[in-house]
Amino acid sequence: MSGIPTPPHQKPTVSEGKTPGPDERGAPRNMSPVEREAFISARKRRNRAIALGLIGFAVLVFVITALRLMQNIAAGQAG
Amino acid sequence: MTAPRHTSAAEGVRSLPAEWRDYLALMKPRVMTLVVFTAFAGYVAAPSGIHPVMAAIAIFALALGAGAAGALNMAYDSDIDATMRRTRKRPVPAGKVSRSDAYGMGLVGSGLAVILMTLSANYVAAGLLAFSIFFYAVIYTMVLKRRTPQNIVIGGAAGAFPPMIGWAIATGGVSLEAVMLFAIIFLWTPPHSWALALYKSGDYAAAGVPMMPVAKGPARTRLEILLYSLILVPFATLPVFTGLGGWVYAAAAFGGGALFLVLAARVFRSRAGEAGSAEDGELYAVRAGDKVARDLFAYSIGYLALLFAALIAEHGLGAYMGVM
Repeated sequence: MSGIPTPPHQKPTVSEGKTPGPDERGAPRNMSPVEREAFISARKRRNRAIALGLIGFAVLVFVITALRLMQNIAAGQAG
Repeated sequence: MTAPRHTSAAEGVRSLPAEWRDYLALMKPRVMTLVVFTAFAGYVAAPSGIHPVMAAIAIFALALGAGAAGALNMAYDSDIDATMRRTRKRPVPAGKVSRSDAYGMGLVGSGLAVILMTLSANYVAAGLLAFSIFFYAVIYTMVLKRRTPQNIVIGGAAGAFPPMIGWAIATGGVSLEAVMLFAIIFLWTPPHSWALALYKSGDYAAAGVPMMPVAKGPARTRLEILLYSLILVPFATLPVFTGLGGWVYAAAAFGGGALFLVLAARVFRSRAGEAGSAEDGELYAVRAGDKVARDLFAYSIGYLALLFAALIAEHGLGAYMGVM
């Protein structure tokens, strides 16, 4: 999101800059094992929601295309 | 894309990655409900229509666009949201969603919504949707909100677009009736928002947002509420005279409008807003003197819902009986 200018009144918090790097599973290193598992499962749920959204968008475009085809074929036959 | 965990600007709370519920909250679902409702009313009130599945997808696109605009608004306003009791638990100030994620979701959602609207409906509806998102996210949120007490007057146009977009979905254009529906919500927004601001002025003052009660004082706000109500109520009856509204709409517009004026007059005669907002009690606690403002705020939602429900009943459910 580097293309979006940060408003002058919004500056990053200090802790954002100090977050340690991720471990081999992409979870932050400063978490307890329980927190880490919770982090990973929460991330999975979010990723599934994003995937479902993308699939939903593709299905909607497919449905629109099919309906437009049907309407245009019907209009062609009528004309 | 996201910092793995980040800290709330407001409370210093560490949190887990955002879940779908947080992203849903980012889209202001209650506002989306009102957008879908008024857009549907505009669609069914229009004289023609499109394939019902296409219409459903187009209305969904409109809801998605409204949600995306809400995400952009929450991303930009996260600093002032963190200072207001009513908004500090929103996903960005609460540290559940990072500001860059909220911007990303808003921009991607806006793009997908406009594409879907173009494919399912037409260019006019898609153009109006794109403009309304721009108007809300940029003109209202970034330009007006922090600069002028007229923020809600001009910015109210963003919330007034849905019935016009619904009309455009059905007809491929915009007519006088669509402009009337737009104007009803446009004129309704100031008394509705200022009634809330009267008893929540402390929140806005703390955030530095120059809402009318903060910038001009409660007496001026109560006067403006009455003046806008005096314009709104007669204007809302116009569809009866153009034939868009029948007897059901007439009953809602005249009966509901009369009650709106009574409540606005009560607010005008009261001292609502004089004591500041109840910052020390429950979140939605209202001081005794401010109850008239709370009553008007609550009723204004019902009034608008009543007008558009009447249009849906008449044009969608066959209850139309012309007055003129």
